[in-house]
Amino acid sequence: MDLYLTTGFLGAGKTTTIKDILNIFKDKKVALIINEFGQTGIDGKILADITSDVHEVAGGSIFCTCKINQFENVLENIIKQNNPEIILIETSGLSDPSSAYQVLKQDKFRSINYKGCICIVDALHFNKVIHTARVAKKQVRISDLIIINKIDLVNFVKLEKVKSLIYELHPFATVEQTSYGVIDPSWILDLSTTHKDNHEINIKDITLVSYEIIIDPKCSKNELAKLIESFIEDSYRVKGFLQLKDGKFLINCVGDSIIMEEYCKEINENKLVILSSGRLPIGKSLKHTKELYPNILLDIIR
Amino acid sequence: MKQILFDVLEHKQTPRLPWVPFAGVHAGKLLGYTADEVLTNKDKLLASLLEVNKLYKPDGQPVVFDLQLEAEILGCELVWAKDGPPSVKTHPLEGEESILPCKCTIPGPEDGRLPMVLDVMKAMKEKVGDTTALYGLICGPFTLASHLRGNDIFMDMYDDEEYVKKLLNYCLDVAKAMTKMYVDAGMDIIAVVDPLVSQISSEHFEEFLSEPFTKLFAYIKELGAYSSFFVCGNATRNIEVMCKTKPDSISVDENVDLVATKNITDAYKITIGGNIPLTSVMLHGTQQDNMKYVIDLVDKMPNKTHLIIAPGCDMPYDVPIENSIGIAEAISQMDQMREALKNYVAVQDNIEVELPDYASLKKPLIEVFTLDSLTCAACTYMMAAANNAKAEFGDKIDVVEYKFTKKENIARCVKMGVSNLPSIYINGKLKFSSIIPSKEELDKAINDAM
Repeated sequence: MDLYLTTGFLGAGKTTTIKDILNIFKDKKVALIINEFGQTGIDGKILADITSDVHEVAGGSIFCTCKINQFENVLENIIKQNNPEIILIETSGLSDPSSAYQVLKQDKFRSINYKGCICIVDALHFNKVIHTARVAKKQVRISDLIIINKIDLVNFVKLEKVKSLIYELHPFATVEQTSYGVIDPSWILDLSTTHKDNHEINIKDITLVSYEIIIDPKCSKNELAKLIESFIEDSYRVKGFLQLKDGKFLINCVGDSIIMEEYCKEINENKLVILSSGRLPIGKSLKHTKELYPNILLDIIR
Repeated sequence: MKQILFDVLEHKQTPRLPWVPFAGVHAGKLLGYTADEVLTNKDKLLASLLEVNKLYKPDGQPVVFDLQLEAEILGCELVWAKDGPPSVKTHPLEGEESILPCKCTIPGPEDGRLPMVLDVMKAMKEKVGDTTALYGLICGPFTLASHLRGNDIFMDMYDDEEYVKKLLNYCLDVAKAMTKMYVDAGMDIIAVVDPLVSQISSEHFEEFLSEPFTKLFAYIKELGAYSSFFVCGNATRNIEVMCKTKPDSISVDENVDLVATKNITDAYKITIGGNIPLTSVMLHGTQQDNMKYVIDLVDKMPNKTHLIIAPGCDMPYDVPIENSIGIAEAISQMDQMREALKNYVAVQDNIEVELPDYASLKKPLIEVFTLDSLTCAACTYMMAAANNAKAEFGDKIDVVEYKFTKKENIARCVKMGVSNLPSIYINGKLKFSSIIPSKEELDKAINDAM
């Protein structure tokens, strides 16, 4: 069975790309493992609409670079019970995928043919994340194929800058570019592992922080957009399902763009998960937001 | 022989005292390898440690002496040196947000330089483990918290006590994980090295450190290993509170009066180790100076049990090899050597140093006396406090560091009457001795001198 790892910093467009990859393998038996962030299980819910064989490695902590034991167990179970032709792993946007790779090197996974690691890079925000999140560099360095996504949002000069940053980190990378996460099947089908002299030592990023904010269901879409705008610059990612005055929505923000899509399933907790770094003044920003919108933002939980 | 060391830790009588040379980067000197080579290259480290074992005949020996190992894994950038361990350059948790790292960032055997270190530990166990007790050195929770948070932690201890406790709890978890890996790799003694413990008051020790250290030493015991609490700098005031955390042994440097301290540790049935002066004797002294120092040290002790002879801390890279060999000889044949050296008088260096005319200074002069701010963690943070003040006050003040590793600075310390390192003097007057000031305290002292 062939195994593909996908990585990429929060909001780069991994979930969208995975939808596309699933499409390439639509005639095969595919198992998808998601190393999800948070307990909200958002990506899992989205992807479950496309394929039924979704396995989440979730947990109480969102930064678990890899819940190694859980991941191993999930993988072992899939091999035993489902015997898929293709295994696709979406690693968490904050994780160092090399820890997943370490697991695969074990003898018990000999039947797996590791095809390589695909890294999705957000053309618009790459320059920012590379300078605040250590893990973003590692994701590029250990990947075999790097797909620059959202190229429609940048000009030629900025795109060239992104490419040169990538080549600085990984001079032998295969680099492709796209918009809306659309991929050419040949990129995936021709993927092979590149030889990398990786003498780099494993280093953790201890500066990642997460907050949850509780939103009043009487809040309108417009009010929510304004509320998010007041802190979005200091976050990496804002995500969650919310019941608002105008209906139910999936909120999905990256960089400075706020996306609200209608959502029809049940919502348990009216909260947004915010991921950021201690290198950004997110705590202060959220406190300020609470002062501005005391009736909408009901609580900040860390 | 390792049994002599174990017997001393078990409070048994021994035919002689145990000897533990803390040859960290100095091990590399024996084979011509630089400090950064032995701390990053498995083969060079192993070969150097085996050479230490051959030449210095230790009863116990550390495998790697690098308090920055954990900090590096957790994102601190290091500055490497050819003749000393690396020092921490950046602190990932510095700044306004009081971040608590996720427990999933606690180091594992694949992280940082641990694959290399664990391999060397296993190899040392196999090659010399039958005769030599092996020390696994971990960074103590308080020094690790300082590496991660930087000088901000000294303010946090007044402003945000809860945060400090939580951060120390995370650092305790890191220390436990390191302990487990090192014990599994065959280490007999886990040394918790926390130089910054000497830089806080006993009240702060009891408020913040008693609990994590007590838990850590209990955990080491639970795993079947012996423990040692390493501290450097003038930790005299904290020896008693350190004893209450129940380590098997405590190791101190020349800033501490070993005879007086041993009275306290004896009362708690804790073995004490130390405290051959690192620079004035080991680095700059002759072989006879070293042998005589050890013999005099032992002779001064009314009670010679519960005692380990060791350098004050990590030996300087350039310690002449014959000095350590001399110490080993003095310990193994103490009576003969005492007789041979009875008429020996140390040669004094006569270096003239000129002190500033403090009364006529145009602006405050901050003089920081350190062992070496690049190699001694307590000195790093003392110097950082002065450098932060310089950044803030700019041309209104002058800041200078005197490292004890230079002979002329030793002479300056003698002339100034500096008795403890690190210390800060302002306009020739002692202001902070072995206590790292918070920003507010140092700013006030400078403003008073304006």
